[in-house]
Amino acid sequence: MQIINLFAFLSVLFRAATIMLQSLVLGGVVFSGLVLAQPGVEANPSETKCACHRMLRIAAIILIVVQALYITCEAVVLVELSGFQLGEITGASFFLAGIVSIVCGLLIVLVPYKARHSVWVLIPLALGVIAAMVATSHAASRLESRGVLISSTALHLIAVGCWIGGLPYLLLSLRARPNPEAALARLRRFSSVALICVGAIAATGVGTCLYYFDSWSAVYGTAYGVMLASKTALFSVLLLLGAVNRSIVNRNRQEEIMNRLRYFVATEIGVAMAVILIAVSMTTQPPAVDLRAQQVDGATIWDRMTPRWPRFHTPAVSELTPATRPLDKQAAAALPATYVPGEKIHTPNTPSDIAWSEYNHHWMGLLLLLIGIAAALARTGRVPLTEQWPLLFVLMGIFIFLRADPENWPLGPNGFWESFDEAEVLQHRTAVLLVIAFAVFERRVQSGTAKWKFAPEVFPAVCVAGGMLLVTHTHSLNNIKEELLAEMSHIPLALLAILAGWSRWLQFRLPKRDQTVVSWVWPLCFALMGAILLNYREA
Amino acid sequence: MAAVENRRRLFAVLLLVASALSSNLAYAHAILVEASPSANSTVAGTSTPIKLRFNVRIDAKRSRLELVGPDKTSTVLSATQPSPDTLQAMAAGLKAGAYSLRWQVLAADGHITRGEIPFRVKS
Repeated sequence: MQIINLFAFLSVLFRAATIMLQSLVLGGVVFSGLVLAQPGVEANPSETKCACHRMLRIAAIILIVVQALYITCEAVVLVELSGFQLGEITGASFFLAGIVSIVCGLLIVLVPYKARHSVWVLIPLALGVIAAMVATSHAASRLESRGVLISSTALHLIAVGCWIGGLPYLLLSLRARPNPEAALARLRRFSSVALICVGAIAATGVGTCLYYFDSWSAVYGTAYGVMLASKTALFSVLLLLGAVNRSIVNRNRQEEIMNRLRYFVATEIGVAMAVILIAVSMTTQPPAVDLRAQQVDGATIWDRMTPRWPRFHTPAVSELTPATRPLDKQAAAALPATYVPGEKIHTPNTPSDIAWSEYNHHWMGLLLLLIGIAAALARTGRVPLTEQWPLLFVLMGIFIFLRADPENWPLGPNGFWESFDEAEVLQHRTAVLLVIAFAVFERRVQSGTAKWKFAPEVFPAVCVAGGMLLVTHTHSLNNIKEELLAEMSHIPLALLAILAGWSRWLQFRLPKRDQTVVSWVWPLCFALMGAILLNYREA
Repeated sequence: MAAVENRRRLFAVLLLVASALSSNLAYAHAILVEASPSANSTVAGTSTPIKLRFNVRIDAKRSRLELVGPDKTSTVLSATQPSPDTLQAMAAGLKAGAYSLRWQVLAADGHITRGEIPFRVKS
């Protein structure tokens, strides 16, 4: 991989981490200030406070490091791509915003938390971190209604930080096993904060959409709209989890709080991370209102999505377009109107390329459908052979390795190591490792031979990782219509993978009597993923 | 209890790895919404005004326009910013033939987008 691509990749990674960390910082400040600041209900409140303050400090320190790395990577990319001097870059808005975030983070680390009224110092500092993020958002770069959009985005991020960012602190405070009254008081208080935040998130989200979407067709006709729909779907899952948690709090049973609620809270954190990643992913695309001429109409979408018989016949490798030819060697190929430096410039796929890709997707779909059905049958205990379902993932890994990158070893001319120059190949190879790890660990967990204590966590973690990988895969700016049509199948797959992972995790964690529903959810998710892939088409 | 905590830690690490792997993203990039001359158009004369409008505010100080002539030599154009979303320049000394305007802009988030507008000049 070229060094510049590596830096560009890293800068993006740091940006995603920044969004999560800023929520964690704001959530920590609000949790300490509003939820923990309730005297008289806990025998030793200082222990919990110290633990929360420690987490807040750690989050702020990581935020500082991540921000410093982010602006360094961005500066390197700009110097390399544009030939600017470092001095010229220091005045750029992203650089200044990064410095503000670092300074606020440093002050958050240094504030003596035990001092009276320290929360009133911490809140403006945490808001400073949020302001730095808003300064580099879509809202700040708009020309019309900028003030309204900036306010709305800021309020949205603050509400996300107070609710989602507060959840890890809630979990931490519950793990300290406070007395029942203290736990309940804390949960009720947090629940009230969360309710207000949910209202603010929904209101600001809808309000912002009114500016970024100018028609209903933009919702289904742009990748931005499809990602918004998926974000809304996961937000609904978060609301459902929040409602379950609230009902547990209202029932006021200590055993239930310790055995169920904390696992639902952990799941809520995980799903929220996916929502944040989708939100980050949305910023990779121009708002729908900017793509009036490039929207995909309903008839095209319907044509692409109408169920057809899967393709189980593959073209020969020799019929495919060389996918990794360098840009400068593309004879007479004009650069597109807009593209991101380093991104692969799309050349039209030949019918053979399309047939190859659809064949790959359809076989994967068949394997996933079989996995879902086998896992469901194994759940009944009536078909012993179906307990071997994890081994189907090994077949999947081999299939991906052989066919995902036909221009590379073993099918194509590029050698094994040479093939890693392409970020996409690296992704595919990582996916192969994940899938095989998935199969091995899960089979051993199923058979009870897994001695490694972390083995049961691998299945959910790989599912969630896979889902997140799909949620935030590269979005090209030079082929916007095809990007949308691909998005329409990939996003549901991602959501189902994330749901499968968390439902499986809950199955491990919840008491036996509470496992019934979640133990059926993940096989169903796998079967649905298979069905979607069996209908995947590129033309 | 320690085993449970270790499991949680591992799970958190795996989630972070997932986030890292999933971050193959780009950000609020500027896209070109209007160009003069437009792509594949033909202009007449020895000079032509250039105007590019984007969907968002751009950092003109850190953006650039480059004109590639029929003989493949390139010239960096001096650009001005009449409004926050627009770059403007004057291409002079044009000869008949195929030209290409290469642009590169920096958006508020620090990310670059590029593009190319091919056009012809007739004598």
